[in-house]
Amino acid sequence: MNKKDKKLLFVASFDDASILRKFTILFLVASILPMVLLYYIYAQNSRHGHIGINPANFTIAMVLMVLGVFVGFISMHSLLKKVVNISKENSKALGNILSPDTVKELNQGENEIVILSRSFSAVTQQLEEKNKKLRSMYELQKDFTSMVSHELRTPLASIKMAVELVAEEAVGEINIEQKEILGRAQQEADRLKRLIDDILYLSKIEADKLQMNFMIDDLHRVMTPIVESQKYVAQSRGLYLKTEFDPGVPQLSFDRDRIIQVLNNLLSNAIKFTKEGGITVKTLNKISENCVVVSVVDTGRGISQEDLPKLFGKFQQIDSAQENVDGGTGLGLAISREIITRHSGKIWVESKLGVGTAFNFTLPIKEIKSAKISSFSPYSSTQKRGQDA
Amino acid sequence: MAKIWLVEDDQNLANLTKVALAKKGYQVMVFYESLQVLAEAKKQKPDLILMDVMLPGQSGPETVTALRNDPNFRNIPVIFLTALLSTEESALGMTIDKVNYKTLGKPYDIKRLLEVVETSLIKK
Repeated sequence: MNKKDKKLLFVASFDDASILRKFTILFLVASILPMVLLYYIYAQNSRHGHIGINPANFTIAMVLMVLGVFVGFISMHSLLKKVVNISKENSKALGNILSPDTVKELNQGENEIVILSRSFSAVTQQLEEKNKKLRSMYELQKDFTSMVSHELRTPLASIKMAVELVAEEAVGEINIEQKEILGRAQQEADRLKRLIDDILYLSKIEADKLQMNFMIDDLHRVMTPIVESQKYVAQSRGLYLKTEFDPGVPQLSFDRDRIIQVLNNLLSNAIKFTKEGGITVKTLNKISENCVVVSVVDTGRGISQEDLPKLFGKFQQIDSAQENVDGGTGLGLAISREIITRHSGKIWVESKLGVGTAFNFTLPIKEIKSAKISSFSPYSSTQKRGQDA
Repeated sequence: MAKIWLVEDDQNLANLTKVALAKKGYQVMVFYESLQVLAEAKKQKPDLILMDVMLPGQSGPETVTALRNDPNFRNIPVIFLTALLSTEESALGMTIDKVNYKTLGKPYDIKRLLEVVETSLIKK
């Protein structure tokens, strides 16, 4: 190997060396060289009789310099050690995102900063590609959703209309038995309609297409009318429906219409599955976890431990015969879970067979700085623009 | 007897809707696509238009925009029929050229259909 190659190799290998090694060599050269030079000058001066500096002072100065070098070395070394550790951790973590071959290629050489910058570029590239894929999937999803919506609702519209025309005797009289049979057909058509609505709604939420309208509001003031409207249904089944609101619950940031949806879903489930006793709606300000817990507790027949995990799944029904009679779609809890997740909350169920069930969800208490404050109006979210009241 | 134009490309739904309206005494003319409506618009005008949103060729909203160019059609009430929105969404209506139109989401009840038609005709 000629001199030039050797020199290049040395430079290349030095450049590629671990930053700790590079730092040590450079630091020692930069700090010890001047000290040696200084001592040489002093020694020369004293030999020629030019003692400009007191030997004792000179010794102290040298000692302080050595100390300075030592402290500087230790602190810089530990800082760089941290960078080396970050690089090592990063290399480990990359195994989860990139292929083993790519990771091996990235970890070539020993220069940790070069390795880190290489891996940042690789990960950024990966993320960009994944984003592109997701975006195009969302576009497809949106079109598919529109297509499904149109294709399912149109024939259903004809079916409903045909049944209704005959049932309402618009095309001739019918007897009671015929009316009853058509009534069942209408019920099922309505159920199908609700199912399509729920599927499309869930599909939109999951594809993150549904905009949440977070506003600062009083949770109890929003919940009370909902509870009141469900009270009538509960009482008609001989059940009580009461509230136990924690006065310490602060103002929260949430999407009023969606939380009303969740509450309605939990209440109607509770009423459906409770034969005696009743339902209590509770709120609790859980300061320790910086959130508010809302619970819908019933004295129904309870749910077995093995059935509990299935509840929030799509189309899961514990008692299918009963559920069908009451016209449920099997998607209410899945939708509720999506809504609560979008609120950065948790939703879960606790139950004991023969005792009852409690559905709980949390809403985080966020700092109220720049969020919008709701001017509470019972009609604000369901404005019927362009329609007469 | 009010004249209603029904623009709906699904033949079954168009015929059933026509029966529902005719039984209540309305004169209903059915069109299956935009071009037919625009051609007829040159000869006469209705008291109300029920317009499907998704049509072959020009969409419902596009057809309405074209019709509004004719001064005779500027004040005729239009109700959109759509399978693209849920009941909740259709309650908010559709806005075209800063004008908000009533929307009937499919599937619709006969009762609801008749209610909306009646209200729109009275307003006129």
